Amino acid sequence: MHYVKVVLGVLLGIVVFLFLDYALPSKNTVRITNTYNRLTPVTSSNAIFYAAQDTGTVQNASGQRDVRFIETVRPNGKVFVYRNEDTGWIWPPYFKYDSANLHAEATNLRSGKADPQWVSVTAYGWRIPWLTAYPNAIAIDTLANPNDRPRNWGAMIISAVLLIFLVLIWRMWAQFRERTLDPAIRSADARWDRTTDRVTSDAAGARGRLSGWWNTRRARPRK
Amino acid sequence: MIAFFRLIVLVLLLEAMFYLLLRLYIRSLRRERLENIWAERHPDMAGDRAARGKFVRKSMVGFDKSLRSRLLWLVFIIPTLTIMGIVYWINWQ
Repeated sequence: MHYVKVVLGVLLGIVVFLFLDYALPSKNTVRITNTYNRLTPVTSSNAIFYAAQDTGTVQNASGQRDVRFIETVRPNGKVFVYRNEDTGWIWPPYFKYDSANLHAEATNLRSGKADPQWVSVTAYGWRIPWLTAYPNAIAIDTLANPNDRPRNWGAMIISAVLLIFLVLIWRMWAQFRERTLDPAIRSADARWDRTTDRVTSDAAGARGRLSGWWNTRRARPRK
Repeated sequence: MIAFFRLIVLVLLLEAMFYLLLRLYIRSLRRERLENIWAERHPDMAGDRAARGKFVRKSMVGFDKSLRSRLLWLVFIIPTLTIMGIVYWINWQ
């Protein structure tokens, strides 16, 4: 049982980490080389990586969307492709609906190898080539040189807020348990004991049955 | 537009839920503190007695008008302002 719990805990940690890694904004220093639209198939396997259907881009009968893309090159020479899509009003909560403006901005900032204009692209999501998934660009800021790494304040603030939230929920649950759950269990126990005492006087074995169970649940020694 | 109204309803529901939960929480904290005050003032009448219950009930009467309780309305204001801030930041910067 102990190992099952450990494994489940580790899995939960991985899931939470992956979720945050996907949903939080991240910044990359790149040079924009091209911007374009392309009919892109949105299938059931990669739909989760695209915006909800009713936001901005319309899907045609064969399940394709005309998605905007931004092609970039990193300072180390590797390429990276962003998509540029409205997120709409629900998920993920970036509330982005200026993808046309962002596209114009990106087109304006295109530059060649000879005279590079470095920019910092803020985006969320993952690039998964075999699922045709692209990170969604949120904002573009110009930089002076390719070694600039702007601090990712957005992700830091959101993480801090989430941490505070977690502590608050933990405190609230502890208070609820101390003030409501434990007394309720104690009084139910007392009532049970009174009832059994009335029925038979030698029901000593059943005394504290409920709180005994509860205590085994909360204070099991760790092996 | 429907998506926008859905967002408003959803956010309001979440805020209302958190308002209620936090209200229960801070009231519970206050009550616990009052019980401790009672135990300090009346060491001879410690424990869960009718007199203590009366004292706690009387002391809780004006709680909804206290600063703490009024600040709780921020639960409705801060997330809404945050969402408006994000919308501005993402689309007009």
